[in-house]
Amino acid sequence: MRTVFISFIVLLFAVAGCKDATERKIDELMQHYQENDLFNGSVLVAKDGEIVYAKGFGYANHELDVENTPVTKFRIASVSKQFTSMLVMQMVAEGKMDLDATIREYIPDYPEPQGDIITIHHLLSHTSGFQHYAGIPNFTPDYSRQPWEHRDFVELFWDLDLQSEPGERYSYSSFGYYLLGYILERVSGKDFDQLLWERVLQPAGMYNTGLDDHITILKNRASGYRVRGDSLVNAVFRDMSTALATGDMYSTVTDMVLWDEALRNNTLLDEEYQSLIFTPNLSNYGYGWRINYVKFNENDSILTHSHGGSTNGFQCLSTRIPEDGYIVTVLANIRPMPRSEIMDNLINILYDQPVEISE
Amino acid sequence: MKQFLLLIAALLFALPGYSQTVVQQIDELVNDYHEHNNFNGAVVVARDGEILFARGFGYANYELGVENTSDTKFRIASVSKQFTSMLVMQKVAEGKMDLQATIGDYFPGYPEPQASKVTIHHLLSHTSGFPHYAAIPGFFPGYSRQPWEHSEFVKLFWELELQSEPGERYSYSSFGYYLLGHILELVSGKDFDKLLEERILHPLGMYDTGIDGHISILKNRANGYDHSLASLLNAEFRDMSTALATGDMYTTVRDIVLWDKALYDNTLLDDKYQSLIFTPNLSNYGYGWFVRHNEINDDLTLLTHSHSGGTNGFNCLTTRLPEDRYLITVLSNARPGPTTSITNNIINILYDQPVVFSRSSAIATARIMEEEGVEKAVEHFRHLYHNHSETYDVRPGQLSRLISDLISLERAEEAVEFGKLAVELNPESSNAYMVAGEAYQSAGEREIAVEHYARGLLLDPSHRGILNRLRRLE
Repeated sequence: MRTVFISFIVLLFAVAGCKDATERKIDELMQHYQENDLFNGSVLVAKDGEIVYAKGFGYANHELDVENTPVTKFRIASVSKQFTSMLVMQMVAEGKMDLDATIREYIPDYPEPQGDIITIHHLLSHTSGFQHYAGIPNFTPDYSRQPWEHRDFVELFWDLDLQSEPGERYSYSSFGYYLLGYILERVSGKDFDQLLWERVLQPAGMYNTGLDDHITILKNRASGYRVRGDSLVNAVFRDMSTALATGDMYSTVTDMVLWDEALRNNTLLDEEYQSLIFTPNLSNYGYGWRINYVKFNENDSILTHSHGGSTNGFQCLSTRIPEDGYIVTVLANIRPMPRSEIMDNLINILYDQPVEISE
Repeated sequence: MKQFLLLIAALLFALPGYSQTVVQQIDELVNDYHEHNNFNGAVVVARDGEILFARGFGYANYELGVENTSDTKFRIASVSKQFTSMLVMQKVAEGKMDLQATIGDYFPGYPEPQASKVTIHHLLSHTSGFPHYAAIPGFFPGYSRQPWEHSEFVKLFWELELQSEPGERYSYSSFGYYLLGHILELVSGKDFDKLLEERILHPLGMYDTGIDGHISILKNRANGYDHSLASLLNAEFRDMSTALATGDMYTTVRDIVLWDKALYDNTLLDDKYQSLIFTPNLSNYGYGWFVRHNEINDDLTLLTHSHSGGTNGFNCLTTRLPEDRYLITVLSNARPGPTTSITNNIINILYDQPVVFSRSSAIATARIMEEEGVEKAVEHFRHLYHNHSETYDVRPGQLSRLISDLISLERAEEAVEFGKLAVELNPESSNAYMVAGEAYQSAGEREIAVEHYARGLLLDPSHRGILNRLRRLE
C-alpha cells in the first residue's frame, strides 16, 4: 500500500513538473514575442477539453492600461468561417440546403452565369473562382468603413468576373463566405447572428463569442492595434457589416476550447456530415478549415485542423490536433504578428521539439 | 496633536474663501446627475486658475470598467473653435492675417463669389452665410467616416450656396471654422496640429490637449457613448479629419483650467486683440465664444463667455464668468449629457441661489420599460407626472426623448404608447401632437399620424417642426 502511495506521489510530481516545464517554456516563448512588439494578445492550450495553459500578454487597451487575459474578447476575422461552414452543414443535414445546389436555388435573382454554375460546395471549399477583396478596387478606403445592408453588400461583388471555372481551382475569397452567410439568412429567415447563437454558440455554451458590431457595448473587448514603423497605433476603422459570415466574429481563447469540445463530441452535427468539414478539397482546404500535416522531422508528422484570421488590428490562428485532443489558440490585438511561427513553436513545445525563432 | 493635524488637513483642502460646503454641494449635485440623469464625464470648477473642484464620474470605458477621472481625455468638438480663433487673432496681431481680408486673399483658386465676399471676420463670427453639415445630404455617416486631406475636404463644401449675404446674418457653420483652420495652414505653411501645439498648447503647458486623430495611441482617452433609453451604445465612428479646426480637439478638465488662466493673463495675445474675441457680434457670438449677459434672477446678472461642443459620443460645455473669474467646464462622454443644467446649477451654488434639480423621468421610465414592459412603463410615467413632478422632470421633452429613442430602435409599437400618453398629459401642446404623430408614422399609421399633425397645427398653425414633417410625408 505504502509503495503504491509513494508512486502515486511521484507520478503527481512528474505530471506537475512536466506541466510546469511546458508552462515555463510557453511563458518564455510568448514573452520573447511580446517584448519585441510581435505579440499582444492571449494564448491557450487545451488537451481533451482541459486547459493546459492560458494567459494574456500585453494590453487589451493601451490607452487605458487594461491587460489582456484569457477572457479578453478579440475579433477572430476569418476564423468565423468555421462557424459558417458548421451552420451550412447543419442545414445540409436537415435537408434544408444541398451541397450541390447552385446559388440561384437560394437567391433566384442572382446574376448569371455565376448564379447557375457556383454550388454551395464551391463556396465552402473556396473553389468558386470568386475574387478576394482585391476584386473591388479601393475596397478598404472606399467601402469598408460604411455600414451595409447584407443584400447591398452582396450586390457589390455578385457579378464580378470569376477568376477560374468553379471547381477548377482553389482561390481564397471572403466574398464567397459572405455570400454563404447571406444564403443562410434567406434559407432560415433569420439574421445570421441569431442563427449563430441558436445553433452553435448557445448549445456549445460559448457565451463569450458572437457577431461583433462596433455599437453594442461588449464587456472585455480588446482594441485593435497595428505596428506602424517603430510604434504601435490604433487600427483603422472597419464597419463589420462588411464581414458578416466571412469574418465578423469575436471570441475568447477560453471559448474556443468549448468549440473544440463540441467538435470532438459531435454535439452540433452528426459525424456523417461533420467529417465533410474536415475532408480536404483542393489545396488542403476542407470547409472553413485547413487540413495539414505538421512535420517535425523526416519521419514524424501530425495532422492538424487550423485556420487563421486577420482584420484591422487583429490577427489570430487556431489549430486543433485531433489525434491528441489538443486545441491551441492564439488571438492577438496586434497586426502583423508572426502567427505561423508562434503556432509552430507552441506545437514544438507540446511535442518536445526544439523551438525555432526567426532573426 | 491628532486633532491639530486634522485641522491643518482640513484647512489645506479648503481653498481660501471656499467653505467645504460649496465643494461638497457641487459634488453631491453632479453625483445626482450621474445617478439619475445619466451624466458620465468630468467636471471642473476653478477660480482664477485655482481648481476648486475636479472629478470624474462614471466610466471612460464601459467595456473594460475603467473610470473617468480628472485626467481623462475627452473630445471637445466645437469648443475647439475658441483655440482656432486664438490662432487667427495671433496672426492678425502679427500682421500676417487681416480680419477684413477675404478668403481669396489666402486661398488662391477658391471659387467666386465666396472668395472675394467672405472675410476672416465673417468666418470667425459665423456671419459668412455658409451652411452647416445638413447642407451635404448623407454627410453622416457617409462622408464623415472617410479620411480626408484638408484641402480635399474644403472642396466638399466650398461651392455650397451661401444662405445669406456675408455679414447679414448669424448662422452657425462648422465649415466656416474648418476653412479657418485650413487658411491658417496655408498662411503658416504648417499643419494645424503643429501650429496649435507651438502657439498655444506648449506655451501653456497643456500637454493633455491636442488634435485627436483616432490613429495615435492617446493615454487616458475616454470612449464616446450615445444614450439609448436607459442604456448606452458605443458612438458611431467619425474620422476626425472631417473636424480639424472646427472640432477635432481633446482635452482634460485640468488642462482647460490652464487655458482659462492664460486668457485672464493675456499670456498668448495682447488685450487689444484678445478683447475682439470676446466682443459680441450678431447673436451674441464673439470669435469662437458666445458672450452673454445671463439673468440669474432680478438682482443678479452675470457676464458669461461660453461654448458648447457635441460630436459622436461626446458633448461638453465650458463657461467663464469673467467678472468673478470662475470657470465651469463639463465634459461628457455619453451624449446627450446634461451639461447646461449641471453648469447652471453650479452657478446657483457659487452664487448662493437655490439649486433646481429634477430627475429625468425618461430615464426612470426607460429602466422600468426594460424590466417590466411598456405598459408598466407608461403607468410609471403617468404616476411620476401626477405625484412626483417636484422630484422628476416630467415636461413633454422627456416623452419626446423616449419616443425618438424607441423610433430609432425600431420599436414603433412602444413609441405609439408613449405618443398616446404625450397627448393625454399635454392636450394643449402642439409638440405633444407632433411627437405622437411621429410615433404613429414610424408604426406605419400614416392617417393617424397626419391627424395628429393637423391637431398640432390647430394649436399652433406656424409650428415649423410639424410643417416640415408633413412636407416630408408628401
